[in-house]
Formats: sequence, structure tokens, C-alpha cells
Amino acid sequence: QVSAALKEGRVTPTELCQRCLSLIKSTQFLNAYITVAEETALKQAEESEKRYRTGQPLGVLDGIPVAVKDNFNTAGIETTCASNMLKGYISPYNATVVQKLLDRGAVLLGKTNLDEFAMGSGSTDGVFGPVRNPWSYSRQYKEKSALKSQSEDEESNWVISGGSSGGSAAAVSSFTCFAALGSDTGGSTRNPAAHCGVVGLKPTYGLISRHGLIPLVNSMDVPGILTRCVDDAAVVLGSLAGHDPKDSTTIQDNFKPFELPSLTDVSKLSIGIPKEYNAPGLSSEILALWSKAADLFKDAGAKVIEVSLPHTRYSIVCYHVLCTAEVASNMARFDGLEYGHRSNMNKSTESMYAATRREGFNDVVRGRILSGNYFLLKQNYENYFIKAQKVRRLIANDFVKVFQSGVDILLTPTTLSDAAPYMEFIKEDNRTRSAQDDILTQAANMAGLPAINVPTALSERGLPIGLQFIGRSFQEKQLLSVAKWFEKQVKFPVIQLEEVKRHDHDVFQHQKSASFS
Amino acid sequence: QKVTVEVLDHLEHLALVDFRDAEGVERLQKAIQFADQLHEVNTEGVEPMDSVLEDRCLYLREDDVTEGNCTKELLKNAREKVEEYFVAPPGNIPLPKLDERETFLRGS
Repeated sequence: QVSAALKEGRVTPTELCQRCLSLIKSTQFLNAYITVAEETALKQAEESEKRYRTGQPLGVLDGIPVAVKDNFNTAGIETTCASNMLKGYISPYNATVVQKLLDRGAVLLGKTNLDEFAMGSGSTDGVFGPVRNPWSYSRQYKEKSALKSQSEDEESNWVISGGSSGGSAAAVSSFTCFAALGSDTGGSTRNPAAHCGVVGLKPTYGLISRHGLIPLVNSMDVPGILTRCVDDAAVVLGSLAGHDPKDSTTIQDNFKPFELPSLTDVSKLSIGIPKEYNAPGLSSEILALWSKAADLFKDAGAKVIEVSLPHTRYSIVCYHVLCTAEVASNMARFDGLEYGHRSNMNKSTESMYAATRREGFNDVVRGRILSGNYFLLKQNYENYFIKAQKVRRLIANDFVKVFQSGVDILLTPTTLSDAAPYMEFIKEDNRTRSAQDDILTQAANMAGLPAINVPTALSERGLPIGLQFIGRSFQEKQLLSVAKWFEKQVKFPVIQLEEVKRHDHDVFQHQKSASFS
Repeated sequence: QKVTVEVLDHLEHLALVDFRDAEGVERLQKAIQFADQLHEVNTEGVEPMDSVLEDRCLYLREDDVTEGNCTKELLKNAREKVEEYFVAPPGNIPLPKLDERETFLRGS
């Protein structure tokens, strides 16, 4: 819609950019952005405007404000990964996905907040502070929560945005941008998408380039896409997917961007409901919603069958070992010599590295590095690392078997419950939380499959609940078509942000129902 | 089965990262306990999986120089440099042993 408006001249890219920038300022309390690239954004908007005026826009994304998670390299803009290790690090290059967005005229508003080095499921463990879920300030949440007084509510009742791409999800959810990039290694795009009520797409591993994405787990990381509707996600996917010679883990098949059909007939579909995803701790609300969704498909004529992915409960353990092992390796590059923080310790290379890393990394990161190194010790390698790799194959095979039996798409919950209040969430440590929260999203990363969170309904507390669809490798078109059909059926409500309305009524009104496709 | 101080020390050496306090050590213990669940799974005859793309050939491009000459940009981010060199403190000096090092583990 916004793209059409830009084309018809109803709004100009600079106006759009300015509105978004002012909205970012008025929603600063959300802490969704680490860096706002105001000057460069306005410049990009001006260039875009010139193109529209001469009738030569670069495409649907021209002039569209976007945000990027702060673990993607962005030339000339600070990239911190929410860590002291990279504070002040100005990337000399753009990540491929960032470059692709810029090449198509998108306006980069800024870098969004995350858990330090994308480790976490709440966006609470970065050095710039936690991200607040915009829904904490929605009328829907406020009406449902037992308010004692206004001020007490705002300061202590706010809920987390999920993680680790919480900043990106909050940015999209609060209308400060039309699309955002996140990363997904264990659910880091889908988890915050579910909590913030936005669409979160994890593409198939190998479809989108990871060049420039600061790696966590090389065999599972993918860039994730966060938007307000499924159509938008398809558009962004179309501009990002494809082989990149700079990332040899991208497949060489030709990718053809597609337009999403508006499905009316789902009767030929076979939807699988994996019974193991009724995990311990799953809220009864979500269980009921999941069941309702299955019925929705059934009533529309689709074949809905229960399936089994027997190794599901080991997925999180397997992830834990493989993740920490790869992290131990990937974090080795941070030694202070070539970039990033460097300690003043100068006695020897080793002591300088040790001091730099002690100063630069937080507990979570250090913990994972040490655990990873433990699992990689000679005496443990076979028993832990190799064992985990074998279990990984079993998990991936579970999916293969299910898809081979005729199931097209799997339908599962995305999270165990709606967003927790921050004060509750921080009572448990990062690893425990991640182990709990990633349980439903993690297996898709193990198997490299595409998965998407579609906001489905509001919980009793007035917070978003999303459901997840998992598809076959490289079948994003089918996955997104089904997701789009589902999205249309559930008609997820628009967030009614009160605080912001007071400050910026006009901006808000315009953006409320706008998607860009 | 608790992890010995020798192993903890070894890990600090390998990782060049510190446990910092009892919580850090406890974190590792819990992590190992958690990972031990893997042994419940029967992986008889299963090959380890490195990557989901294992059935495909890795892309190899032509060995031609297509970019570079960005010395200035790359040096910008380094704190200590001399001309076109990154400056490191003297190498080949191992980290001090457990009793001589500033580490939480010394007390254990």
C-alpha cells in the first residue's frame, strides 16, 4: 500500500522517512534502536524521491524505511552486536543482504537492539539495555492488566519483546519501519515476532546470504525477515534470496522471486500437527489456539493429521552442544588486534587477548565459549560434539520422513506462552530461558527448514500469540501462501499504541494500516 | 561428576576467557548436566551431520582477484598500528600458570 502511495505521489520518501524518524524518537522508551542513522537515511530518502519524480523507482522497496539488526555489518554505521567488544566498531562494508536492500532503494533508518551477540531469547542481555515490547503500551494490554496506578504500570509491568531480534520486531510492531532484518539461529526471529505480533520468517538455510552477518552458528544461522504482513515478507524475500559468491553456503540454484497467490482453496493441502510440540509448559491458551487453527484448516477442507517428530525433545540439548561449540570457534576472532575493543594489557599476546575478552564479553557469551570449549576437548569430542551431530541427523530425518509421507506444511505453536513481564523473565538465567523458549523453534534450524510465525490472536492478557508453519526446504512459496491464507482467516488486531498516539497522531494514523506491498 | 580445577584452568587457557566467579563455574556444570541428556539417544549406525547442505557441492569461484586495496579502511578499526601493520604485544609468552594468574580459580 505504501509503495503504491509513493508511486502515486500521495506521500514522498522524505516525508515517510521523517515520519518514521520522529516516531522512533517518540518511542525511544522501547529501546528498539541502538543506532539511528538519521543523516544517511534522509539522504537515501532524497535520492529515492528524485527517482520517483522522474518516474524511475527501483522497485517496490524504493523509499521504504527499513531497520537492520545490529549484528549485520553496515558500511559507515556502527555495528555493535550489543556488546562492549564491538562498541565503536564502524563496519567497512555492507552485509550482502543490507547491500541488496540499499540497491533496491530501501531507506536504512538504523540498527536495532538485540541480546549480546544474538545469544538469548528476550533481547534483555545486550549492553544497551533490554528492548520493551510495544504491546506493553497498548490499550489492549493495559485494559487487561490489573492496574494499580498509571506510573507503576509503565515502569514495572512492561513485557519483553522476545529475542534475540527483539529490537527489529519491536521496530516493525511500533510502525517505525516497514520491514526489518533479524537473524535466526534457534528461533531468534520467530520468537520476538510472536511476542510482538508481527510476521517473522526464517528462510531455508542456504537461500539467503550470510555474508556480513556476524556469525553465531555457521551451520544454522540465517538472516530473518520481520514485517507486518505475509505479503511484505514475500517481497523482502524476493529481493534478498539467491546465490552469493561471497557466501559459499548459499545454494547455486536460480531463485525466482514470486508473487504470492491468494489461495482460496486449501483442500489439497495436508497439514501435519506434530504431537511432540505439545511441550511441557505450553500454556493452555496457546494449546487451545493451536487446536482452533487446526480446525480452521479442517473446516476449509484440508487434510489435517497428527504426525510424530520423535526426537523433538532432544533438539534443544543438541542445539546447546552444537551452538556452544560453534560459538567457541566463532568468538575466537575477537582478540582486539584488528577491530573492536582492545585491552590496555600489553605484557603478551595471550594476556592481551584474555584481558580484552574478559572486558568485552558479558557472562552469557563467556559462558557459552567456555561450555563450547569443554565439549570440544579431546576427551569430550566424541561423546558430546560428534554425538550431537548424530542426533542432529536424527532430528533432520524426522522431518524428512514426515514430509515424505505426504504432509505439506507443519503447524505448531511458536512460543510456550505470551510475553512475560521483564521482572519475571530475568528471574531465570539466560541459558535456562533460552532452553525453555527455543524448544518450539529450534528444530527448524537443526534441519535447515523454512518456518514462519504468523500473529494469530491476543492472549487473555491482551498480548500477541503467534503460530508457526514449517515447510519443506526451499518451498517458501508454498509456505508463505499457506501463511497468507491463514493470516487472512484470523484477522489479527492492530496494536493500539496509546503513548505514541498522543505525541504523533497524524503519523500514527497514516501508518496504522499500511503495509508496503 | 564435578569438573576438576585442572580442566577449568585448561579451559580458561584455551578459550582465553575467564569464569569470573562461582556462578561461572556453576554455569558450566549445569551446561554439562544438560548436555548429558544426549546420551539417552540411540545413535547406533548414525553418521554425524555437519551441514544440512551436505548433499550439494560447495561453490568454488575462479581464483581471480576481484577486490581489495582497502588497507586504509581495514586499518581504521584497529587501535594499535604502525604504518600498515597491526601491532601486537610479544607472542610466545604463555599465560601465567594457575597460581600466578589473576583468576577466580586460584582460590578453589
